[in-house]
Amino acid sequence: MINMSNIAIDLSNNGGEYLNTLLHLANLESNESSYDLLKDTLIKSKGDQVSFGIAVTKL
Amino acid sequence: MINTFCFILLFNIILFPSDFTQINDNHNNDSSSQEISWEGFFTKYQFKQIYIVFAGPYPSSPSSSFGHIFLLLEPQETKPFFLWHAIDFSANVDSVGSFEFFVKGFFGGLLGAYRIIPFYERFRDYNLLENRALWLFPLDFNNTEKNRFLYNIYTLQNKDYEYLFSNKNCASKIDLVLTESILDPTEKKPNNSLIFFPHSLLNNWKNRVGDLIYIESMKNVIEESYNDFSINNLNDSLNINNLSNTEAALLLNSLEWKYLQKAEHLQQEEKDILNKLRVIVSSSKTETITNFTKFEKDFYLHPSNLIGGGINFLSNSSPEYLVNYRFGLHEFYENTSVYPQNDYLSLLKIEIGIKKNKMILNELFLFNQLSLQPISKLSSYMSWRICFGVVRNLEYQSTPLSYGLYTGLGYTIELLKNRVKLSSLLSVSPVYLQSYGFSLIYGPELIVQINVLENIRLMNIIKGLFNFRENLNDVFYNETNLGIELFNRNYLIFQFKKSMYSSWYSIKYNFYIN
Repeated sequence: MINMSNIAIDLSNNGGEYLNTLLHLANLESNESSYDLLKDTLIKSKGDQVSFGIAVTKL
Repeated sequence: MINTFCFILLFNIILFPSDFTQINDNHNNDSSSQEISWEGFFTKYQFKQIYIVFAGPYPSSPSSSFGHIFLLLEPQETKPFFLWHAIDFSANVDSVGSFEFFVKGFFGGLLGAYRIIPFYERFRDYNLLENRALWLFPLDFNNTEKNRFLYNIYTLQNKDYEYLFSNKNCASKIDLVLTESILDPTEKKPNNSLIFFPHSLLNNWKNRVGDLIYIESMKNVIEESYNDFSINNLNDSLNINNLSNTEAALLLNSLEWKYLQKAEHLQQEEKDILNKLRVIVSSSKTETITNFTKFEKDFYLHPSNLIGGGINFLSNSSPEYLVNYRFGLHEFYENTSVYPQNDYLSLLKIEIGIKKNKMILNELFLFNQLSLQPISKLSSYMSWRICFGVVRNLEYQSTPLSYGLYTGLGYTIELLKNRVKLSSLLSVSPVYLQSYGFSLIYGPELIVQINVLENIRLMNIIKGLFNFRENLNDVFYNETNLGIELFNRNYLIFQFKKSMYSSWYSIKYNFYIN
């Protein structure tokens, strides 16, 4: 759904429609620490797909 | 409060006209909203602003040739644009083949339904994959009308209704649900015409809409951005480390757009370039490439019906008077501020010559499309023609009628931006030629289009025609058309056709009717 490349471009500008959508879906605040978290995650994944969400653990 | 409102609604609406006749519940549609109560639905979908959205025509698909209409709900709470709710009426095509869809779309047998979908899905389909611009018209609804609208959608969604391309389509069904939601009965306009297209809906609501928001197609935005771009060809882009960050962002957008157009998985090499570019781009500031821009021209959708008349001077016969009618999108000489500029499409086109007591059929096309999309740095779409019908042939002696299919395939280049285009096609036409018999006519074709001025357009066609019949000569044919846009989108057309056997000079005056 969300275009990874547009998120990368939005991240470079610290804002944008695609980035806002991702932040909203991931339930993250729109602030510097969220942008840094996403940038780090993107770099760690070497630009490939990144999964966001809440981990569900089955007991 | 919601219960009180619901009670009032039950007294106010729900006497739906016959077009809301439901065929059956759409049990296959796995929509969560189908199960929820009216109160839950109201809470989930209540909105601050409703927009009529017009997605520009998509000439590659006949059913989308006149554009698509859907609605967009801006929620009460602040939410990213892509997560707003879109509502459309569309045909259910899951188990229908292309040919069946085409036939049933015209003659009946298709089912359609109102659906609520996230806007990002529609945005991706139309703007990114199908290269269509979007126009958003804010609709002035008061709170009661908004609530009535929501209740109508709640009642109507996920049920099957008859779908027809002509007048039971996205535009007519959306128009109907909007009309049923407004309070003032004098504003309700009839929606029972044989043809109801997006321009009909926009015309009905023109007094209720505010300033439009325009979203250009991603392809056009990227192509425009290439003017200052140092990479000449996307395939030369492997040395990405030398690019500025803004160039890298443009390349990233371009490559992703290009790969999305290919309905196949990316090669590992292509995927690696995209991944690397994403990391580079995210690291420092870029100039964002945005397709949310101001629409500089007038928004105008002309009616599909064009009629006209004129006079035709023939080299070897007395003059004849002409009557013509066209149902379709547009031809080369028409002002296409909103419709795509490189696709000329008629679903029905007829021209009759009248001479003393005689009427002569000059042409009758049941489908006529000429697509002349220029190749660019970003894309290399082919140009093509498909026509089906009857045409009087000046190319051969005694100007016989030919019945059949006329096709062509080739490429177009733009020699001067928005001014001069040159197309080269190879045409192949299996036809039945009156008094000669069946034949396959083929040959090269050169089309030159010149926008002389904003309202003066010229199209010249030169053809060499070969065939397999011994009793038919190979011929050379030239046709020049000059269209001048007069006041109020009325057109004057000068046409000159010449073959080795005869020539025509004609003057026509064409205008739209609703």
